[in-house]
Amino acid sequence: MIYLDNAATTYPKPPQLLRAFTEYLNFYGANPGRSGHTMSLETAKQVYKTREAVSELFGAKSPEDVIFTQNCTHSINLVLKGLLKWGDHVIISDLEHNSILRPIHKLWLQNGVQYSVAEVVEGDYDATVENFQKCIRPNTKLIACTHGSNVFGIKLPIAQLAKLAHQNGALLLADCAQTAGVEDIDVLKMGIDFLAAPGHKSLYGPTGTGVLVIGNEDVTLDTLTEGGTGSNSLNYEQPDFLPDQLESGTVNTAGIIALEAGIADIKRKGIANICAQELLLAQTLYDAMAAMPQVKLYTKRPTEHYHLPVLSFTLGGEHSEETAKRLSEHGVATRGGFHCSPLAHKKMGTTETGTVRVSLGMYNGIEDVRKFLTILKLLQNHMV
Amino acid sequence: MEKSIIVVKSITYAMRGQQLLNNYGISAYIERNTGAASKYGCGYSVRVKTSEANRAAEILTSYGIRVVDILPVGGGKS
Repeated sequence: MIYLDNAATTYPKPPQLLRAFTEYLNFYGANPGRSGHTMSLETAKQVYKTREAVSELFGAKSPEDVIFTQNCTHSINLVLKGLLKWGDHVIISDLEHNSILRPIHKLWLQNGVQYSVAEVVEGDYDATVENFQKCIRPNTKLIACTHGSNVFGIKLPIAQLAKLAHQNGALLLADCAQTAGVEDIDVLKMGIDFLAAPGHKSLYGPTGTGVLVIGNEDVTLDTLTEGGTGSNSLNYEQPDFLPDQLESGTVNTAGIIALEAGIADIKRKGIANICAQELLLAQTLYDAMAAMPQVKLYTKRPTEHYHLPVLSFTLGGEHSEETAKRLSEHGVATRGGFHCSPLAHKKMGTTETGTVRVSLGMYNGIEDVRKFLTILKLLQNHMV
Repeated sequence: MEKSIIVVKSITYAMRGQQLLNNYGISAYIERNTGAASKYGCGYSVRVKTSEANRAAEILTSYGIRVVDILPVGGGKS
C-alpha cells in the first residue's frame, strides 16, 4: 500500500511505539496520580515524561500547562466552551475544519455567541491579517483558527493573528491539527494563548490522544467535565490548578506513554528535516500533476512559507470519492470527499465533487510519489 | 536523619518538584499524603531532609509550585 492519507492520521507509526505499548502492559498498568504504591508512581512518572516532552516541544512555560485530551477536537471544545459567554464574538477563517466550525456554530445557535468568517488569502499573510482585522468588533473575545488547512495545505500567519488578537483585547486559539510535528511552534514566542493538537497525526502517537497547551496562564477556562483528579479529594469543587482542573478521570495512560515515543522520534529526526523532506515530495507531486491535463489542482505550487505538504485535486470532473476509490483499488490510500471542512470546499468551489487529498508523512519517500504518479496517469488515461 | 514532607497540589507538581530539587542537589522523593497530610485530601508530597525543607519549599515556590504545607514525617504541625 502507498499511504498518502497522513492528514487523517499518520501511518506507519515509529517502531518505538510497539515497545512503549509493551512496557505499558508489563510495567505501567497502574492508575497514575491516584495511588501511592510503586507502580502507580512509576506510571505517573511516565505520564509526566510525556507532559514534559509536549511542553518542551511547544515552548510552554511549564509541564502543568499541558492538558491531555482525547483528540484535537476535544482540546478545541475545552477552549471554546470554557471561554466563550453570551454576547462574545469570535473570528474564524474560511478554511476551518468542523472541529472549530461546529462548536462555534452551536454556541451561536444556543448560547448567543456571535462569529465572523475571515477570508484567507493564499500566499499573502498581510492580506489575510487585514481580513481578520476587518472582522474585529468591540466584543471580539477570540480568534480561533487553523494553523494550516487540512484540505488545501494553506497556512495561516498564526503569530501575526495572535498579535492582532492581543492588540484588540482578544485571545488566540490555534488549531494545530496539521502543523504540530511538522512546523516549529512556540506558544510563548508566537503569542498563542491556546494550542490544540492531536497526538496521532504528525506527533506520531496513537489515536485517542490529544493535547491542549495553555500559553496564557492568566486565563481560566470553565470546565467541561468535573470529577476525580486524585487531588483535593475532600473538596466538592473542582481543583483550580492545571492540569487537574481540566483533566478529570483517568487519562489514556497507554496512549500517552506511546505518544512520548512518537515525539521522541520526531525530535530525533528533526522537525525541520521532516518538513523539508515532505515539502520536497509535495512539490514533486505538484509539478508532475500540474502537467497532467485531466488533473485540476486548487492551490499554488507549495512553498515552505505558505504551505503544508497537503495537496487537493480532482480528476476530469469526476467525483473525488470515485477517484479515491479507484486509487484504493490500485493500492493507494488517499481521502476523497469533503474532509469535514465545508467552509474550505465552499471557498474553493468544490462542494459538488469534493477533492482527493494527498497528504505526506515522514515515512513517505520518492518511490511512493513515483508509484502514485504512475497510477494516477493510468487512471487519467482510462478516462480519455 | 529527620525527614519532612512538602505537601503540593498535585502529582504533576510533585513530579516537577522532585526534578527541580534533585537539580538543586536536594534528594527528594514523592509519596502519597499520609498522616497529617491526609487533612488536605488525596494528594502527593515531596519528602526531603528536615534540614533542607525550608530551602526546598523556597525553590518550589520560586518555580511556581504552590506549597500547601510542610510537615514532619509522622505527622504534627509545621
